[in-house]
Amino acid sequence: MIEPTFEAAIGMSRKWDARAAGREVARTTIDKLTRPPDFFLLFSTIHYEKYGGFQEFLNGVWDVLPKGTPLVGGTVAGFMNNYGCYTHGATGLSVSGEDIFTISDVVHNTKRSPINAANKVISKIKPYYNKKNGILLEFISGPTIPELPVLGKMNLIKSRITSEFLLKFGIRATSLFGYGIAKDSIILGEIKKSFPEMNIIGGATMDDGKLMRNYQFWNNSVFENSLTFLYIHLKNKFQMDGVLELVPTNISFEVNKTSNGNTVLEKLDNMPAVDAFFKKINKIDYPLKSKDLLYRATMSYPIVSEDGKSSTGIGAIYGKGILLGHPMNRKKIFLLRGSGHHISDATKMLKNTLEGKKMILGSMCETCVDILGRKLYDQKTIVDDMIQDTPYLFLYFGGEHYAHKDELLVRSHSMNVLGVS
Amino acid sequence: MKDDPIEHVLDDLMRLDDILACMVARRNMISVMPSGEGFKPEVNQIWDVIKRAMDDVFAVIREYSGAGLGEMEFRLQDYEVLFYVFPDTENALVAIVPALANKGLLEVEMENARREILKAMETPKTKSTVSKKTDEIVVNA
Repeated sequence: MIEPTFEAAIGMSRKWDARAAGREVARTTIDKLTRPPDFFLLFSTIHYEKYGGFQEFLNGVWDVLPKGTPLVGGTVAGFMNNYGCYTHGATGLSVSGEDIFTISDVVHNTKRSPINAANKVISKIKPYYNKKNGILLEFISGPTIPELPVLGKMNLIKSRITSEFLLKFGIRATSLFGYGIAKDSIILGEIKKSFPEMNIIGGATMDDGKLMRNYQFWNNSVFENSLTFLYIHLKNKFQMDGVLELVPTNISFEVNKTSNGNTVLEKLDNMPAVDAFFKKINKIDYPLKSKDLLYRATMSYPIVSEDGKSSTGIGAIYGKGILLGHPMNRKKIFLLRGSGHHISDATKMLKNTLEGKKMILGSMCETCVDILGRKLYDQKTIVDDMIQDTPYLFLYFGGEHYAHKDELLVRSHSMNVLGVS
Repeated sequence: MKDDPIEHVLDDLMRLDDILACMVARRNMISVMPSGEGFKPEVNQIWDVIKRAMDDVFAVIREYSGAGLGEMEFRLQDYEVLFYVFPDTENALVAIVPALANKGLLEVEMENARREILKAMETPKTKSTVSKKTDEIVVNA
């Protein structure tokens, strides 16, 4: 059977000036298409915040992009495409094809009112839901280190009284101000409940790893604490897959007590969570010397649930409690370990989905860049060997989303791909 | 000189918050520096000792570059110094970053810079016009 016409193109800019970069990323992307784009995915690193601002960046894009083209995207830690690997710049993916149906929108206050945000997405999609060939591309405001008035950035609190207060009341308060975890598992869980066979690929927008702020793009506007989405029906066949890029160690913990929707570990191995954690990894007090070191050091100890469906890193330590980026719903958790070797193996596991396609979109974890550094180009070599000249875009997020058939995975340290034939 | 492509590459690197200083250098010699405002002020206080340590590292690079030495790094106080060696030369792209910087992300852009500089070096017209002994480096505050 002949597949319907489908064209995809990748463009990018390395310019520093926001407007010039916006123009260049749009031009280099759509120039490769023979027809006007049906939609445009736009991503950039956080740097344009300081070099003209994201509104100016989008203004530059719309200097070039045909009026009315649906545009969604946001800020990412980095990206890999046909041209290279980058942690500074902007990139775009545009598609034109035969009868591609699209709707897009933005919903706000994802951290404060995740259920409300999910319901708005559901009501927008419902009239058009097509369980056979519908795909939801979504980009949600990612985690930010909680910040409280006067106390400032809060990812390491040693005081017992302050930490107890924060665990009971503070975490909820931070989400009112738009900080804290992304709540993506809540939102996507609700969407998946309403549309059990929904295909989803997306991620949590982020900055350059500092987890201070991030932005979402929708048409010609820039938002924070929002979710932008594009729902499409494709006539072309597509394949999806998702794998963990790290591997579980044999270091495990029994989870005895959690709170805040399983995002705070209070007791592990029948001990206060922090004591149990650092006892087992034999690093007592080491990460507690500075807030920055805490974040970097604990990123080396990512956690996965025993079923492998939820993985996350430590976001903060409040007293004896460990705050996670995503909920841990299982009674047993394992530490993960990672190396370039593991990431290479994980990349090769995606071979079936990557080979012989007309377009590839990947949602990857920023940890991958953290681990690989300049060796990210080694991962690119593996990808290039499988993909050849197919336009592809891998984005490095602060949390990755993947749903296919009855499975929904909202996790960190994973690689998820959509390949369109 | 403004139109030196290697200077442009270094200028771009200096725009990243956590690159405090960068240069193309070899032992006792900085071949190319950024053309803009120079190094970031934090580097001032530690430049003398970093420079001495760098020279020792360059002695190793000179010894093993031909054997395929590709990169080196050391940590000194609150800073890390990264060396990306240009193949079969005594020269390296050097960057000074905070010890707690998110190094993986910086390394990607360091690698891009190294590739661009290699390309510029391979272009016959390209000449690096700035060449100073490390003792003469002025760190702009």
